[in-house]
Amino acid sequence: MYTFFTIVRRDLLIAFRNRYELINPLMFFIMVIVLFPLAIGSDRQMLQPLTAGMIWVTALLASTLSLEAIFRSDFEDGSIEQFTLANYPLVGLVLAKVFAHWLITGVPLILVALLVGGFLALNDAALFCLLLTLLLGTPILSLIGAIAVALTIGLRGGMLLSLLILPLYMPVLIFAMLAMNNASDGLSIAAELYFLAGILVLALTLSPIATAAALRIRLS
Amino acid sequence: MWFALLCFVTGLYGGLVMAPADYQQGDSFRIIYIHVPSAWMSLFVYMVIAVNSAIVLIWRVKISEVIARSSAALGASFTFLALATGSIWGKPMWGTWWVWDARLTSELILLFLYLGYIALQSAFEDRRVAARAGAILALVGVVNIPIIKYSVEWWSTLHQPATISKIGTPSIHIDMLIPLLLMTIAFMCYFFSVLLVRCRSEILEYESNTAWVKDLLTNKGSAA
Amino acid sequence: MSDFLNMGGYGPYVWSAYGVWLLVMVINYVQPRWREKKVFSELARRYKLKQQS
Repeated sequence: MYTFFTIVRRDLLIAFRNRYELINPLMFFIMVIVLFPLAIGSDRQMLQPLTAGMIWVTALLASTLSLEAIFRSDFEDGSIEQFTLANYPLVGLVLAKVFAHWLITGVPLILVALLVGGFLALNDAALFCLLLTLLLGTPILSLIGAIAVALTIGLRGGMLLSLLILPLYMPVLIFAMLAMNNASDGLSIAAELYFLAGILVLALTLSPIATAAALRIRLS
Repeated sequence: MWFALLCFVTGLYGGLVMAPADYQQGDSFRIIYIHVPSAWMSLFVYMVIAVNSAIVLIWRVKISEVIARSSAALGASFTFLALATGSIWGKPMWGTWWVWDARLTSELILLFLYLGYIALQSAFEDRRVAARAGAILALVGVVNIPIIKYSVEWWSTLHQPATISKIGTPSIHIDMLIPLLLMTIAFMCYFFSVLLVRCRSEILEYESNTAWVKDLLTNKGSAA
Repeated sequence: MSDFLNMGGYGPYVWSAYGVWLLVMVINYVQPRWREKKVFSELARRYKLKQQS
């Protein structure tokens, strides 16, 4: 348990050392959201139904961008290799790093998304739904993304990571959007939230195993 | 391969000429004879890859690596076919080329998974590492297969639910059923024969440093 | 015969679907054999180079 939090603290320290890097995903998020009205035209009527989708897709992309950082630098300087020799299970390392990533990227993203949602005049029910879906969804993104990152660390061609991740993200996005649609119509979102929670539990239990296996394969 | 061709010809004849026109859809339903087998094959090939991936990860059998890698392009082709023929069929039937219902979307995700799998394996120089990395991706994506299968049951979708199940009598007329089954067998034979050819060249590349390959090359060289 | 081609009005759809299918099937038949030839010649070339050095 102690080791777990040590790893989390270490990752947080490393992240905070380069304070400006932390803001990158958030700036990306805000700027892409701004792109949409520029591209589609700022007609309120046209934008309103798209808001929820825009926020979720952009959150997805922003999260993916910062994902590589979890393992790349540790892989390159050999820390991960050192870790596999240590007593602590590799799965624990993975969980710790993913948790740290979620704290660094996911949580600020949720807050900024809520702000942006408020700006774009989402009604209260929709905002609350956004909070819940992102709360359940961003850890899923971090967990599933970690698998893809572990498979592709250090390979040339950064697109490969996105190519692998996006099909795996699609179900999450589908459920989140179903929930958001129901929320803006005033219907109950319990079913979709249960589904998201189910996916979260599945990802929480299985994806660290897959990520650890992928790391071992890359190290060999 | 010849058996596959035979089945194809019989199946096509049965499907295109002999089967009676569907009372609701007219003659366009005949697309079913390539759409449904393609879809079944896309799922079947993914399971082939998934099972072989598990074997690769647990027992590290080289042949399984070869089979998994070689099946991927075929699986992607079948998925593409299922989507394309389904889309062409959908236009006159539903009035639209595409609809975002559960089955179509999950099949599309399957296509992306296949493409990602192929891309991932191509990104590695060492084929054995590539095989194992791809194995993990394949196993993670296998979650999609039950989603596709049961998508028509879990959600109310535009795509019609299954008319053929293992238990119970199928709700499709026997004259239409036989060409369908024939075509499925034909698709299977086609898949296996093409797979074997792909595996041949794959094995050559895998084992390119061994003696038997060198012998083969010199013999070919001296004969040429 | 023209009835057959017409397919009760759905002709273009049915035949384009079958056309796509045929195309994909043929490509998948031809490509592995072509690749095998390429692999063979590439490996033979590499082997010859190694022999010379």
